[in-house]
Amino acid sequence: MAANFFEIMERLDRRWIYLTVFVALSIPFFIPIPLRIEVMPECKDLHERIEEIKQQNEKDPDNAKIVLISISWSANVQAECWPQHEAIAEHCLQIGVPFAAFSFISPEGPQFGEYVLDSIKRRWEGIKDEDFNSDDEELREKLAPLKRRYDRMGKNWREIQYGVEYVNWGYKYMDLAALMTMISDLYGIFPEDYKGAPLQDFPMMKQVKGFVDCALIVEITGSGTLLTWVMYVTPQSGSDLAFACTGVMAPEAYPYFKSKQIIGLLSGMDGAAQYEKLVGIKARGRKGMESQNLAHLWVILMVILGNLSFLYKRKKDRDDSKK
Amino acid sequence: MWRRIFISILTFVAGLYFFFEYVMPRESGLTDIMPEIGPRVIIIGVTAIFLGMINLTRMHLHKVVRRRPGWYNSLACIIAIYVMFLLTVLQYFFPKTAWVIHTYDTFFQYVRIPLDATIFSLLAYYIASAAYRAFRIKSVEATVMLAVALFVMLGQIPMGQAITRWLPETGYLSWFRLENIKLWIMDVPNSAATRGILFGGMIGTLAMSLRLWLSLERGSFFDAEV
Repeated sequence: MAANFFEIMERLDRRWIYLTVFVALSIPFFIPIPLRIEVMPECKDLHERIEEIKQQNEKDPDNAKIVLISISWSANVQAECWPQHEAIAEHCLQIGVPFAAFSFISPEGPQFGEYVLDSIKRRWEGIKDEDFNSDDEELREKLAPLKRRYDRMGKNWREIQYGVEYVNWGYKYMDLAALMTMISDLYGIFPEDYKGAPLQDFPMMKQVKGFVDCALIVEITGSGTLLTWVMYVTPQSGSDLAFACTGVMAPEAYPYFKSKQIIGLLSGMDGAAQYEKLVGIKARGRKGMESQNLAHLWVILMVILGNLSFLYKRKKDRDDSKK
Repeated sequence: MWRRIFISILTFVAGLYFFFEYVMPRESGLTDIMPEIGPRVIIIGVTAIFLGMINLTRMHLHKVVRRRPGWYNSLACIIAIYVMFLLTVLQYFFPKTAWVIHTYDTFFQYVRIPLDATIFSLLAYYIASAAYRAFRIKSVEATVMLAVALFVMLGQIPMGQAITRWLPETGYLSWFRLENIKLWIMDVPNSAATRGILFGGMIGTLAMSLRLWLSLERGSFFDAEV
């Protein structure tokens, strides 16, 4: 019986593997799986840094700094990068740290930046003002991070004020020289935002000359852009750098996190889910983790089964050769 | 011949500027010229993209006209390039025209994004199949790699982390929690290996950059007329 099973496993058609992975990925769409997300230090550090920027801006409003999100991702990696982007943008909006977004790799980046904000707005539409002061303690606790925005902005908390809270610089093809120009002269490269409005006219951009006025740059990417920032830009601009990347790219980034050249690291969907937990939302990251969780478990099981059948075959071959 | 010499000199001088800009102190004034250079480099890049578009069109048009095998794929490529190009241009000039916005959004959201995401998502299936077929404990090294991979995968997912959740969150025993084992693997052995690879890669990049800078690199078009 077991022998038959291992022989079948050894000869298993790959289409069965595809089918079972598909099933594993699909189950959480129908049956939600409650997961406890553990927040790792690399995620916590990024969260704390944005909180610090808020405090610094409050202490010294004349010298307020912004967070810059570099959208170096596109549709192909949106499963991992979108939730990272959404969680960081949500955090900035919750606590009132102005942030800008731009892209130098992905022409579609600015558009995705807008889609992410639309997604945040849609989620907020499902929350009633009364919920913030609800009798339900669990609900109040869940909405506590967002309540900071409600407390600050009152009834208009759902409106994202373009130019005050957020600006989309747009996309420009550029290489190193242009990127380095932006360290001190942003407007030489981006005189207008992505809709053609003069960038310098926006209230949050008044004090921004270039990367030097970005307290934190968050590179969200599925490409190898980390070195560009680490080697050329942030040492000159003095900005902190955080890296949010696809899961497969994270191992490359860890040495820079260890050396503190990047102050925070979000690795794939797991990183996004951790950040979502910190900002009290359950969006694409935590929902997606349910599918990823099952798929990972399934792959682990397949690897174990594959090895058992391999060992069985090897033993059988040895026994046969002895005969 | 003269054109090649001219390009070599231009490459050398441009490289010289970037080299000195990086190594010289700020007082040298070289960094102050950077804002003048950046926008010009963008023009070169955009021209290259435009040239690429022309080149793609020529290549695929040639296939379509000559009815080469798979010519219909080339036709689809040409149509895709120019429809999106046209819509983007239209959207720039008529940003408030409803049908332009609607058509662009339809193509972008319901064609471009799903296609791109689908192609990339197929990787998950290939990786699962490859892991099943190739991740075998054929040697000691392969066994170590498999064990490390299992620890990292289990440490990455909440259901994996749940296996060791009974261990305390602080103190020595917490080191054995799967998420902490994963973190240690990523932080220490992985960082060491990545650094080693990066150093090797960077030395190679340096050598290659020098060759390019000094126009010593004999690429595909070395003997072609430029």
